[in-house]
Amino acid sequence: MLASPARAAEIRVASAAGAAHAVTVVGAPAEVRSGWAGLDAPALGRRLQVFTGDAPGPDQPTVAGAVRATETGLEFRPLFPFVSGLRYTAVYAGDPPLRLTFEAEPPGGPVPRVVSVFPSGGRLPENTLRLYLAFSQPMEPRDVERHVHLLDDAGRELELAFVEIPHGLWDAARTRLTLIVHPGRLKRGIAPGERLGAPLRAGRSYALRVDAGLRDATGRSLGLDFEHRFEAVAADRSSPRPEGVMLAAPGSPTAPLVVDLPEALDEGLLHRLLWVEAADGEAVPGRLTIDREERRWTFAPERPWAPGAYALRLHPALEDRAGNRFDRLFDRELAAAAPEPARELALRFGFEVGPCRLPSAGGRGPRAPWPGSPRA
Amino acid sequence: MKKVLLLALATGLAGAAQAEKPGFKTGRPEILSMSALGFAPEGVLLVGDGKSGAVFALDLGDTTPRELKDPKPVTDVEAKLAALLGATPADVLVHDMATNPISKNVYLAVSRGRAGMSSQWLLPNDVADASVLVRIDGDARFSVVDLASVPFARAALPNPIDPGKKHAWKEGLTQRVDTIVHLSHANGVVWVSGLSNEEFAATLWRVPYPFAAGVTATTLENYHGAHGKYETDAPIRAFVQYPIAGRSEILAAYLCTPLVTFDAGALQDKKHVRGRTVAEFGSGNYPVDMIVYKNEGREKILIANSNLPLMIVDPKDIEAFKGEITSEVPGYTAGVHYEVRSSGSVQQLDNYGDAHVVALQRLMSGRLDLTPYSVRRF
Repeated sequence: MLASPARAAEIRVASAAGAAHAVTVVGAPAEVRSGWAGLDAPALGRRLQVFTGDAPGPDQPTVAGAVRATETGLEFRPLFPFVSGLRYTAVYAGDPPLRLTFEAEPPGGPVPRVVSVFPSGGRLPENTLRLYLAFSQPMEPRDVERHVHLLDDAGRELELAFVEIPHGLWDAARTRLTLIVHPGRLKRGIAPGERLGAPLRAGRSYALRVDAGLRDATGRSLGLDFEHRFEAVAADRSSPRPEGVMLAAPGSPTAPLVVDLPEALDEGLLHRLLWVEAADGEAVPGRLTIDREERRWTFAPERPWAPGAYALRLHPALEDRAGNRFDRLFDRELAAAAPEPARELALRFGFEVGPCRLPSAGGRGPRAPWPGSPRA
Repeated sequence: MKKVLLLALATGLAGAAQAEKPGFKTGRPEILSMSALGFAPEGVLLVGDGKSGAVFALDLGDTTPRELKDPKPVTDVEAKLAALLGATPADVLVHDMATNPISKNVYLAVSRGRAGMSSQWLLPNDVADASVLVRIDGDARFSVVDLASVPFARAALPNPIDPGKKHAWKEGLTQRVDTIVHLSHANGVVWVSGLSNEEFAATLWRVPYPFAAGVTATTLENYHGAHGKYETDAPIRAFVQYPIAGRSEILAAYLCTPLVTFDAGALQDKKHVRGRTVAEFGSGNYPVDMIVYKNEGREKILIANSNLPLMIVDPKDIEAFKGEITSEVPGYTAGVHYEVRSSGSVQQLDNYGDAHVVALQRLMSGRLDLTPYSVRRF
């Protein structure tokens, strides 16, 4: 008696983001399917197994999950969803045996983007110390060094431009990556800089490139290369001048405090080392805007300004783009006189008691003196 | 016929496993984070759940005795965990390990959170909640322990620390990550170290086992010789209960690494107790596990460390040490004598039968192996 021609069974994979992931053997003949009904869980589990990778090693565990016989076939449901970007191999121990290597579908949702680069200006001092990349959503930190490149005007990658930090220097939310230009190549008179020279040279143009393969925390990749172009200009070898900080006191209880800075300052540090204090010494909560290529710092208080004295506080460790602090140069002659000890600077402004008598200090006119004395 | 028999056997086994111990019920224990693991008698696994502020006792029916003869290492544990969880090895993170004293099966609390370990001071519980319990059996087979329906009991810890309290020096974290740091069963008590909501946050809870009413909480302080001050908010990272000069003591190790003894009898509910700092084993180090082992008839204490080698402390030396460290240690170490053994980067340590201990250890290749060591080595 001739056997009826067997329908070809096949392995199918469901791995869309947000949906239940499963590997299913469909198309097996009815008599095979009815045989599954009598098998216990371990036996079913041996019929259909999923491994990570293309070729499972001899002592490699199978991916944890459960196999059950459904009306149409044999279904494996992994205990945890398949991971996008990882390869899996499903093995069906049937007659004939089947094998399928697959990758999980990339998750849906918004594609990650580079939302900003700091310093944001198109002309950077050749001794720029840090670059920041801000992303639209939490990113995957691993292998970031493979995806972020500094290129010269001929498109050649600059080697050893940044301090090598495994998986990169990320903030806690993993939306902000800090790239530190190798200080050994910026400081004059020490070996790496003498040998390799500074990575950036005045008069040349560069591109910071993030390649399309960089992924976010859920496995979505940028999809497109991102490039930020800039030109290197003469090195900045002077500290920012405190007297160049100009404060425009708010014109009304709900108006922001606008501070013009003496030069473009380090965007990351501007979030931490410049703040507003109330008379009780507590920091005033509010929202910061940093714009005009990091030359303007605008502070909108959470609640309207209450009558009283305030101080804009500036920590002397605040740096310009080349790492020069208010109180100390990044790269100075060691033979020269030691810098003065660090001290915090405070610039006072305030509102007098009573409705709408504003402001009492600052303004766009005369500069308030720096360094101001601390609040009385 | 055979099939029917098999089914009957399977049912019988399931029935046996479901014979509940007093105080246990069968169902899914709602464990939010497997912060610390340990074992109670009869193969009952203890799981400290820092996020819930509770301890679970799970009766996994893992009671078949196994004797260890020349146990072999399990190589590349992270690769195998990754294969099991369908993830990449760089993702998987082991939060704690406990070995079943009866079956010698090894249990790991695991998450897929390793990408968050961005500084050397972060601990697994700082960056992720372990949600997967993995068993490694005598044939080095890895399996996920299915907790959908197991006999379990739960004991709530009174007053676990408020999740809103910021961590003093780990940016972006709350102190809740240290609600439960370590737990250990001894003589009908599960001791749990961690942080409570009291003014002095460092706490040792005493949970009667089998679980019953009467959980007590004692707040602790001790002198940190490396920091030069008394501290009340650093949790005990590893401890054992051990008799010293006939009195039951808790021997506790802290970050940076003081060894402190507490009179167990003085650990009364709602009391604040100052421990005696008897040694300073070196700053810049987390003690990660502490066990008692016996070699040539003598019991000793073995401490695994994040940044220092394995340390051996002889309880007789603690007994003989009459002093107390109450001022800043000028050098690096002070107090009770200890010895070291090679075995760097031991991340988890537990007893493994009487003749061995087992270490989850990072090798120079970067591989994480589960390595048994004969107690004769120590």
